[in-house]
Amino acid sequence: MSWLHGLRYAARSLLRFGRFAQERREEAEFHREMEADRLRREGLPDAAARLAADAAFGWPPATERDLRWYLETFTSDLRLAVRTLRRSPLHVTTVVMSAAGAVAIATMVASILGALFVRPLPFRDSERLVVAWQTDSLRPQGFNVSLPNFRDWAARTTTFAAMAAWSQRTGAIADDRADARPAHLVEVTGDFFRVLGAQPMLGRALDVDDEKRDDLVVVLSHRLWHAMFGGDSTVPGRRILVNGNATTVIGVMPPDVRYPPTGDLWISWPHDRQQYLPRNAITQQVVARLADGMSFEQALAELDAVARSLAAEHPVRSQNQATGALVRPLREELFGRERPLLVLLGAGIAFVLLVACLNLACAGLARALDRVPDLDVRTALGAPRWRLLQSAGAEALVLAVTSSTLALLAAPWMTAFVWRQSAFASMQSAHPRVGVGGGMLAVLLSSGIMAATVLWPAWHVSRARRRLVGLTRQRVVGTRSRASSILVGVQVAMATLLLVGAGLAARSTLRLLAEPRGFDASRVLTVGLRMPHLPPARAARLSAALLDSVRAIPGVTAVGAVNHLPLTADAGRSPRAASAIVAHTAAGPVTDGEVGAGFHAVDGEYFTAMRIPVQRGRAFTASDDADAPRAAVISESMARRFWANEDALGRTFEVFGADSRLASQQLVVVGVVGDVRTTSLEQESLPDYYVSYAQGIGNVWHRYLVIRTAGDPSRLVPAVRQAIRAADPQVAMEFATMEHRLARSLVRWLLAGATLGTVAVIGLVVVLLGVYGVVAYTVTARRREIGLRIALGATPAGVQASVLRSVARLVVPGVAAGVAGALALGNVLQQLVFELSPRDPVVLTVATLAIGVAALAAAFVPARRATRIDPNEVLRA
Amino acid sequence: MATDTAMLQGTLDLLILQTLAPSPQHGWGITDHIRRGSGEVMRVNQGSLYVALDRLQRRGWIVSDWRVTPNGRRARYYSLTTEGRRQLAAERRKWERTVAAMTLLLNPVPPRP
Repeated sequence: MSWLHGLRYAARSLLRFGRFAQERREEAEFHREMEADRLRREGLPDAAARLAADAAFGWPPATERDLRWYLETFTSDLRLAVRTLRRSPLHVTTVVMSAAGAVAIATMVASILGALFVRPLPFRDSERLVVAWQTDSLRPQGFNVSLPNFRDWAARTTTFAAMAAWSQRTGAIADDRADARPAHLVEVTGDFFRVLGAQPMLGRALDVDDEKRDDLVVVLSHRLWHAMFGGDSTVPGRRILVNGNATTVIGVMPPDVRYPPTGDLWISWPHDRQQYLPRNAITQQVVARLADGMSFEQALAELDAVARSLAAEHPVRSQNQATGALVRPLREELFGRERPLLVLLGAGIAFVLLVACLNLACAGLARALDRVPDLDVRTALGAPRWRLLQSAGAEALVLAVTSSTLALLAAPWMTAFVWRQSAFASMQSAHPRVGVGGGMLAVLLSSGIMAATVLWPAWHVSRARRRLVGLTRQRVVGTRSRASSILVGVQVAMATLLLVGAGLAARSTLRLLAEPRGFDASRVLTVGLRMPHLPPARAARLSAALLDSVRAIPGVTAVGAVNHLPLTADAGRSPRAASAIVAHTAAGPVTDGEVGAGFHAVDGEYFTAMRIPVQRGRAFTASDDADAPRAAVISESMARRFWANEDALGRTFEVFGADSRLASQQLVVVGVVGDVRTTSLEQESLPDYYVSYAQGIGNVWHRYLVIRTAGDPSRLVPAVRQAIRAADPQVAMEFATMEHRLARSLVRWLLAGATLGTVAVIGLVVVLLGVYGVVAYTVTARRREIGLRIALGATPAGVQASVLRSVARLVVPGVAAGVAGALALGNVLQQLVFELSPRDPVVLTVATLAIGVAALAAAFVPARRATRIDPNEVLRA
Repeated sequence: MATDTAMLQGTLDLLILQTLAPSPQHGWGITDHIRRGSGEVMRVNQGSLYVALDRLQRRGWIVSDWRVTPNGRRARYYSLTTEGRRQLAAERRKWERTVAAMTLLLNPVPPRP
């Protein structure tokens, strides 16, 4: 029975907690009044009676009283903190701004790294997506697949749930209202969107049935949909011209879906064209989804075996051995190249963050020590130690809230800005956002920084004070110097490491820029031309005519054309991707070893316009026409590679896989030109050969005009545009100076150098401030001692030397530790260098000297001040 | 002062029940009654009083309701339940046995020679 009562009572008090508590307070109030009345009747004065009643009652109850009291002291602490902080605006601004800046940068880097490496790609189960390549002994890094081989891959494997092939072409699109515009077209097999698991936002995606149609259908990317149709939702069903062919738009993809990243629209395979793609036309890239329960390794092993058996069934005339296949995760394929740079940037940012923290801790320590007298008074009045720490905590809280708010406001903006500025913007299948995770990171970091810069010094000082009760303030200053000396030493070490890193990056970048490219990019205007609306013969005639009409423009000194501009990766198609060479030498046929030779189609005065020197023989002339024997101009390194001991002129070679019109043709070497860095500045020049458009080789619908000008090349843009328009108004064109294109391809290096350089300069300044602060403080603290020395006959030079010696005691171990760190981290720094040892003695020496000189300079001012101390003044004080 | 007179465990419950036996009373009335009734020797710590009142309500021995005092104030009055009266009788018997035992122990009958 009684437990039932208990239950009812508990339930009632729970259900009506508010009323229950209210009744409790009322009852207590009544009790205290009755008691006070009684005491008054006994003759106590009113106030005393009231107090005694309260005391006897012991109300409010202990826990509530503690909490209330705690809250009251904490709010008063907060008020005190705000007041104290308002008195030193400079200190507060420095602390808040550096903390907010550091936290915002860290949040930004974390968001970008997260978007690239952690957040799933915008495809369903994106970790199951892979890309597949064919391999052989010449091209172990993988190359494209032919469509028939791809069909066999898809049919013979079981480890993939689905497999799709795509190839990218440049072309032009138009509709009845708009001019032709250049676009990257992605030809895809029907399974493409099913493999990716991407859903259209309008209309439908391509599917397998579309392969059986006779007409063409396209799916637009979000970007193109916006640019061309202004986001019109009635687009599906509309007819547009793609490379002059009528197609129907069937859908639009959401903004996230960008694969391949440069693609503008996806187009179905024309039914009839598929039949004509032979097994040696290696044009397709493959993306696939692993079947459920199948591991990456199983897929790799199975595909490799299939590729081997296909090579045995369809032998091709090639000396490339060991055909196989390679499977890579899609994420790796998309972002793998950027990883080292980003990790390095992340590390640099972390450095700056740490250095900033250390410096703030130094500043915090100085501040805490300035407060020692204040703390002494409060302790004497009975404040317990935790109470003093609590007021420091309130200060830290105010600073942390302010700086994390600022950081949270700045971080999204900075992230968007850096993303737009950097090379990563081209990889738009990832969008960095400062999400909840980033926000939490910012708050955590701010709190950590404030704990380090306010709470730690307070704790340190309060401990030192307890140890040193009754000792002079001088001793506490001693503690300060010791603690901050260590901090400054650590800073010096980290700044040395940063300087070494920045020095390596800068020296590598300079070397790279000074690297001979083999051509002269200055005063060269380039025009990307696309004329897919023309039949091949007319396109070829138009191109030839354009050379003459542009040549006639005043200010133009030479005009040529080429299929790929050197050092500018064009839509991921390397000129070297798909060809192998068999050269006929005096000793018999020789094929290339590790790498293929680069295929270049040129026209007009290309070598003159690019200032590529003709070493021997001749460049192409008007006599190299469609009826003449196929002529080739080769690079010096190709001549060295195949005809090292003889004259290459007049020799012949065969090419496999580059262009179907070159198949089973003998090319005669008519000239040798200087080496050109075609794919990257980092890589040594590889064998290259040039053929002539005039002989009917090369893609007739797409080429670049290369125009050497007498003056500023960008000034000729209108005239060139007009000349091309006059010849054919439907040609799509895109202008850029060659130097501009080069800068774009160097952006990775420039970015690394610039970022690390900035970080290193900031680091150096921070360290200088740290050294200056510590030395200045020490000199002030030693005034009496120095004054005494001067009184006893120390010379100014001696005083100065003693101060500088104390600086050296700080800096030398720091620099030594930094250099040791740089030597130990050689393998990490390797990412930064180009043709340079990560332990490059020049860089190490310069960094060491820079830090040493800077530290001495920072110490010089306080050291001079020390010599001017007036002994009379300080000793009397 | 007698304020800190330690009460035997369980005594407070008995005193409260006893105080409420003649008529319902509010919290202060109970302390006042105990203080005066014991000749100012026993004082109830208010903290323990309300805890005890809570406990007794939970066990169902007393109930409370809000009434108006003779001088017109609202106060919570506590009164005994039937269960409470039974419990009071039981507690009294227990207490009397304890007192008798204590008396015996404190005044030993000298052994006969």
